[in-house]
Amino acid sequence: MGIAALLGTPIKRREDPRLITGQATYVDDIKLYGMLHMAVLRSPYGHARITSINIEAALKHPGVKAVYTAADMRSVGPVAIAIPLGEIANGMGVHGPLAKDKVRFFGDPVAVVIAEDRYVAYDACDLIEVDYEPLPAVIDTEKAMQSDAPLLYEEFGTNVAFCMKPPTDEIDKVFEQTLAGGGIVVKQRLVNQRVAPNPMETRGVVADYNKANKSLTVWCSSQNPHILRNILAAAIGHPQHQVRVIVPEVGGAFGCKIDIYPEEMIASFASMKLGRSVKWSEDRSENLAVTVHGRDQTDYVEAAATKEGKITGLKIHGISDLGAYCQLFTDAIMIGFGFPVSCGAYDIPVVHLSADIVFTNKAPTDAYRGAGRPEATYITERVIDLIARELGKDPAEVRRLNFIKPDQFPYKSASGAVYDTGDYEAALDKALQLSNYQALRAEQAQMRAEGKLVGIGVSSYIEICGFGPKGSGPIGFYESARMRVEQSGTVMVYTGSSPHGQGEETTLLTR
Amino acid sequence: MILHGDTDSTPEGRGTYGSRTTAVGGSAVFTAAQKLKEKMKQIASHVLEASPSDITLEDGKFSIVGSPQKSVSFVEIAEAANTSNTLQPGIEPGLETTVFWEPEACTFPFGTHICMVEIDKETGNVELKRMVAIDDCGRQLNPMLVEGQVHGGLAQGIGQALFEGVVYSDDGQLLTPTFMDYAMPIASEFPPFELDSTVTLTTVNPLGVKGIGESGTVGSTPAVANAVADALGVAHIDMPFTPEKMWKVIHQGAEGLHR
Repeated sequence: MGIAALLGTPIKRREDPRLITGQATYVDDIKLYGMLHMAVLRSPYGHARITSINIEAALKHPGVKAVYTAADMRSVGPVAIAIPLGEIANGMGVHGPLAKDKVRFFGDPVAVVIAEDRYVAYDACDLIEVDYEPLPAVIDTEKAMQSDAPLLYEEFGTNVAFCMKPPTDEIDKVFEQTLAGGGIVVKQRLVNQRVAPNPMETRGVVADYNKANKSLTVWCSSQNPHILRNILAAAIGHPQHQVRVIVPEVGGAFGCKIDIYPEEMIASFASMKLGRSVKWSEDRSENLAVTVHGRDQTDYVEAAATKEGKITGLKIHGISDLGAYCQLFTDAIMIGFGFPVSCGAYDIPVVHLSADIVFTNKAPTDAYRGAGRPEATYITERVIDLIARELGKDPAEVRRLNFIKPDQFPYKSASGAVYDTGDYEAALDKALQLSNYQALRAEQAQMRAEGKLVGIGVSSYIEICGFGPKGSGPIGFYESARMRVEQSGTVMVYTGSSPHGQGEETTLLTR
Repeated sequence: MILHGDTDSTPEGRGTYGSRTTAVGGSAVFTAAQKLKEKMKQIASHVLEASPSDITLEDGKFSIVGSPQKSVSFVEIAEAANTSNTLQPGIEPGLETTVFWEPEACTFPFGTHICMVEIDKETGNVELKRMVAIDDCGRQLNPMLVEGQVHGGLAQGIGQALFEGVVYSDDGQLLTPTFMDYAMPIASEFPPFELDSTVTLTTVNPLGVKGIGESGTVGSTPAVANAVADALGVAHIDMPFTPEKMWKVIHQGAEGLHR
């Protein structure tokens, strides 16, 4: 088949035979000679002071090779942050691999045991005596912003890491003028609750240090092996060229395996200390407790619209829940990825964006499928429906009225993003047609008449993809490809992208 | 062969997130392929005694434009490049290249999702009766994989609206540490998804691709939220729309309700 014919043809995934017959290798399938196992002792409290840690009994437990606490790891870390905002740049929310002095969320790692097998490691964790002095916790951002709230970082005197409140004169004027012209203003508090990414394969790492040639090989369930290598090498103080990261099959990630986590650093540190390979496999409850969560954003939203339904201004105050620590993109999700698309698919002349990003006694948040953009879309799409409800108009038609038109591209939104191309009305029309929208509304009316609670929802979204353009990120977000045509005619492609279930081997190959 | 995920065999890389693989990684692979194709054309032009600009590659054969009867195969040129000691002057032996492709601008996929829900007055259960998704990710290299991404994305987007939530007690205890407490969506809770697409090419990369990994998640959550508010006849109610919350709203007018 010619290439032109293959492009756009539905080809079955090349990956699937090995996956569905159990032939694929995941991190937990890797078993090395003499491999040790790591278990992590975690905080049972949301917020507490550590007054003492006694590891003696655990160390004496048969099969235990080492027990490490923060005191052993002063040279390791911190957990990397890509874009430190506000007080985070001054150290607020920056953390090492193990908790020191204080634990700040349920599951915060306090100590690790390295042992001959996994059961021994878990048993020995139970022998570590940690004395905690429980502290009041705060789990709600709006409570955390109050002056009498318990503080996660006392030295900063606040839980607010970064605050952005530009002047409101322009938006206030738009609202006044709209109301004076017979328009409306809708207001709503919107909550995007905290969710867990839940990949089918939890996180895992195998670190194998070769003392003879000083090389460290790390197998890890990650979305970005090179970024992991670069950050890990810096965190453990080992030359980058002597660190090799291998990402075998990955059973899903959805954003949560972008971060470089404490466990990767600790397993590497332990392997280098002990000269043996060390494995850590996260269990499901650990995954739900300590792997980054997504969303957790509260927004106070106001929108003004003419009596016809044309939006004249949008005002959003976003409050982002960081959890207890800042990880790779924790602080940037709302401001960096959500705010740029806060006008969505709509030609909104004025937008006002303000923000508080706040620490609470919960697991850190970070990227989860969409990362900031679902939250932003939730705002515009709820706002359109609120306007439609207020004006008694069809929500699909209020969307149509406000869409950016195809001839407006490239389009610079009021929030500053430059949209490349789009035909939003075509997608709306196709959805109306496929759903048979008018008939569906008639069916809804009939069912309602029968006393049933039936609802129809429309959502027209946009997204930002293809990060990141030159000059936008903390580092260059290019992608690499090495390609070789061998003597036999076989084409070998080495890509820096690292899939976690997307079927990239099928996408990039046409035969 | 596509190889990935080993820092010793792949050049520096950035990884897979933000629906960037095909748009950015794919553009790098495409650019590398174009470079090697040009070099193979040069070698073929020597064999075919023509100018490289007159050489075309079709169905695995290099030939002169307009005269397909005389040709040299892809494999023959690959072999020549890797083994010949009589390559024309100025041609470096071997067929290998490394490309770093950096986007000049982001790309903006879009679409419209429409759904229908029915809420059981007795149990509070929200039944998703229809889920229609039109997604525009630019050019689709493999529509089957595009559809697969939309399916997974919809499941997670609808999951947030209807079921999921990490919950802590006021003193910071995690109340959802197992799948007994954290409600994951399962296939039987979804109707068959009705999918289609529009195709609007992007101008920011050579493939015209936008990205599809997250679209299902971005569009579906508010579609379900809008449908639930519409069903209840209220301005707004916070997610997730669990049966308990729905029952309370229907029977007691609970907190979180904004009529």
